[in-house]
Amino acid sequence: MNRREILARVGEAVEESSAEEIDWAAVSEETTVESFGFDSLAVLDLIFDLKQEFGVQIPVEEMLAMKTTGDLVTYLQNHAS
Amino acid sequence: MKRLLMRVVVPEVALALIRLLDASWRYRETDRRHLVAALGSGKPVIGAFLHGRIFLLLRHMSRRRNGRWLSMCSKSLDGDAMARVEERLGFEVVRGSSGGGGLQAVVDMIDRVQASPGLGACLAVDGSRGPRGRVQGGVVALARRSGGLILPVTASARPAHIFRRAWDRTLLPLPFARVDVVYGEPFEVPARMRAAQLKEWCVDLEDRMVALQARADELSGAGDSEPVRAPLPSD
Repeated sequence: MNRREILARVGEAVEESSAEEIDWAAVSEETTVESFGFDSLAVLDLIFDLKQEFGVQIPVEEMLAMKTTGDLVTYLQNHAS
Repeated sequence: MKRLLMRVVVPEVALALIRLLDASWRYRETDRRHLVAALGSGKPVIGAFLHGRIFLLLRHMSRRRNGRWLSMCSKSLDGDAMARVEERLGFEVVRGSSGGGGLQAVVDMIDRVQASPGLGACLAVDGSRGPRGRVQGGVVALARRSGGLILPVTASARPAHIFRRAWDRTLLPLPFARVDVVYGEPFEVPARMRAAQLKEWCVDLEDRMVALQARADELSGAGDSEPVRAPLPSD
């Protein structure tokens, strides 16, 4: 799976989890994770949604340390089987 | 030295004390049918209790007939001692709290109850630091992501000592006290919800816990002179 495909699938999970309305078409790998307005509930949702989608469970600490969606894509690319 | 005390000496002394006191207490359960229904539902059971009532419930809930439970203890030295006591009583334990590692601990709890059918998770609704009686998001988050049932449970006792300077006004039954354990009706929460809905469910659970505590106090003929819910600065 290439980065573009991963980003698209991440988008579906983020849209499900975020409390904000997100225009995913405008999101790039440089978009900050902070701009999604995640609270701890949304982080929890995203962890489990991504696990379901990619079979990868991201530790909370690593998830919170991610700055951009590109970081998220890189993590998933490196860990997805 | 303090580490050794908290990890070895304190747990052994606390365990001996709990077992000794427990042997003298007379338990009375009310609405046990709710526990039985929840355990027989085939879904993970999330036991919701008030932090200040932990000493009344610890030994009781560790009995096999009352289910198998996973609990959360903080990563502090106090948490080390508590974790050892709980493990010795038969609980499984994950480490973390609202003060640190709490979200990861909730993730771990969800994973473990989903991977181990029959294992329930129990969590103090007001966390490890309070405010007393104010429900934090952990229990609701745990229930919604695990697909579990929330089972409110509390207890009261007479005679008992209340540690008035503790944030949770910990209640410790005196020797030969009668301990009333009361179960609330188990309920589900939606799998998907926004932050505002989570808050509403927390308030709903809070109301259930307050009502259940009032019932337990009425049955035991005892209770705390202070309200279950600590007043907030905005109240």
